[in-house]
Amino acid sequence: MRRFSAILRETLLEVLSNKVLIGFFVIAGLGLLAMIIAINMPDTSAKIARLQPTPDFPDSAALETFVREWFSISVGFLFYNSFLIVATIITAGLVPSMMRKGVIDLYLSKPISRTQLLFGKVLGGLIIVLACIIFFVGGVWLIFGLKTGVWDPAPLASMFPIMVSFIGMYGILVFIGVTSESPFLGIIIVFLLAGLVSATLANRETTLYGLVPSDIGHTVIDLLYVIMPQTSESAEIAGDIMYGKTVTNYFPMIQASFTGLLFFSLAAFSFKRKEF
Amino acid sequence: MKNGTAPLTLRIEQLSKTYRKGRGDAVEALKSFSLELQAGEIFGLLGPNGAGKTTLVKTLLGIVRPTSGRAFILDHPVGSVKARQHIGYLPENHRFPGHLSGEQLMRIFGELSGVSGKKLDARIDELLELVELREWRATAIRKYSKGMQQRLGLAQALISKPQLLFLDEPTDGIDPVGRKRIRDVLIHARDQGTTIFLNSHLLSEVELLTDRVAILNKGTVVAAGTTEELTATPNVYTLEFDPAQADAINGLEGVKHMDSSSGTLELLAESVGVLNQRIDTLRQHQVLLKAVRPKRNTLEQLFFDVIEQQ
Ligand SMILES: Nc1ncnc2c1ncn2[C@@H]1O[C@H](COP(=O)(O)OP(=O)(O)OP(=O)(O)O)[C@@H](O)[C@H]1O
Ligand SMILES: [Mg+2]
Repeated sequence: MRRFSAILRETLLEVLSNKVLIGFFVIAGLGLLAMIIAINMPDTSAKIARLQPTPDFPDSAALETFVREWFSISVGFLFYNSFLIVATIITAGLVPSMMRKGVIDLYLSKPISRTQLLFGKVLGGLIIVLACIIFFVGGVWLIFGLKTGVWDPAPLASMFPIMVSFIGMYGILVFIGVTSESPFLGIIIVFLLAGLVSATLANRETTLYGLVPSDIGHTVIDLLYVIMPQTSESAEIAGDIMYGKTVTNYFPMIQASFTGLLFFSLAAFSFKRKEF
Repeated sequence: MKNGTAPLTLRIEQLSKTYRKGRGDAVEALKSFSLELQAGEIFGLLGPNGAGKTTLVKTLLGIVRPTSGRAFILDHPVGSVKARQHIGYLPENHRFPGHLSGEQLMRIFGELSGVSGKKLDARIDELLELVELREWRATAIRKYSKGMQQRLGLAQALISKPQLLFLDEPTDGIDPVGRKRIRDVLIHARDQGTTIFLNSHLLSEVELLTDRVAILNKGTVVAAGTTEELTATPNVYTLEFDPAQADAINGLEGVKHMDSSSGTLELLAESVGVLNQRIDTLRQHQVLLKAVRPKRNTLEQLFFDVIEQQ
């Protein structure tokens, strides 16, 4: 356990020295600052005051809707996709940098199993990503809670789908990292899958069905849709949760967890067998 | 364990490693290598580039898997976590995460090796002092010179007071002063009971340190033994005389080689009796002898001899 925590700590130190991460915190911090300024502008302040429940109208629904709208713009629209890109870039190098010649030999000579070694690196990445999400989403929530007195848990819960969609992508990233030892290939493939491939498959009726007119072809395409990351669907779930709507289809979350787990296992298997 | 004695520090039985380079192309990097090391020995593995030295060490650390054969570190099969509990390793061309400071690196690798708390604090102080990096402990490793990185690598390898230390070209690219410092650290470790396995092609270096050596070429051992045994040249003696008397020596039987300017000659003598007969002859010619000693090869000469024979 002590060995595992050492590898975890080393990973955190490595990520914290990453310029992209520092850039993220600067930009996200400025974003939060801008938001504080925006909601303290006289117009917005007045609107919030108007929406406050009074003894005559104890209903806070209007104010909640106001907060949720802000959330859907800041977190759902601005943060969600750009953060997944940033998180991919921050974490892509972790496994390949451990596997560089001259570095991996040092790690492998220590009395720690390869599985623990890889898991420490992976978990370190996840912790940092979670910290980034908590920083921004939690920050927005805190800013609005303090200003409006609405402490609505629904927008906060949107952290969960963001994290789960990241786990799906991260699994693929780690697997490509272990097999190719290249951070760039991982980034490119994840971007292609999560961006282009997922969008094409989501609209498969209009895009792909025409290219492969047979029933079997359609079934294959449907199957691909099921197993590939469903990025936009995951974003929809995040949006629904923020708005306090009931989510009707949790499949993209199950899918992302499954993809993550599958590829982490494949990565661990491949790492265990690898020679350096 | 046999007869209740302590286990051998290292036992290698017929270890072979063949790398596949894809499409049927194979490199036999190591062929049936066997070795036993006792506690406290310094062993040197010599060989030209590509001989298989690094391959052997990597196999012993579980970084690559042997194609056949077995090996044990303190009776634990190599590749197991247990076998790695008692070792330290300085890889060739190692690279440390540059964002860490020397002390952070020692702490993390110390914990990875199973040392912690006050014991680790004390060990870090002691080792950074030993490798003369105390003033640099808080500096990022990327600012270290090559020699400093190498010394940090050595300190890192010693962090858990290992019983067996593997060093792959520890003095490669280091100046003579730095090499001396590294040698001193190794002798210090040996005096504390550490067994040392040293890979090198710096022959004079190995000669200064090791008790026993093996020369590896193309994956096969071509010579092995104690440094004494390997450098001895039976029946050849070196004689030193007054250079002014070189003429008097001309015609002596058994002279292999004479350097009249420095006043030394190599004399072949099948037995000690024959040696003394020849000395008598020289004395009869009034030659003044300054020294007579058995001739020693340098490891370098031996190295060239055995590699060329192949
Ligand atoms: N991962 C690998 N895949 C294929 N061949 C390899 C691999 N590693 C080493 N070899 C080959 O195995 C042989 C032995 O290499 P090794 O690195 O063990 O030699 P060495 O004695 O350490 O050489 P040097 O003194 O240059 O460090 C070489 O022919 C090398 O090309
Ligand atoms: Mg080598």
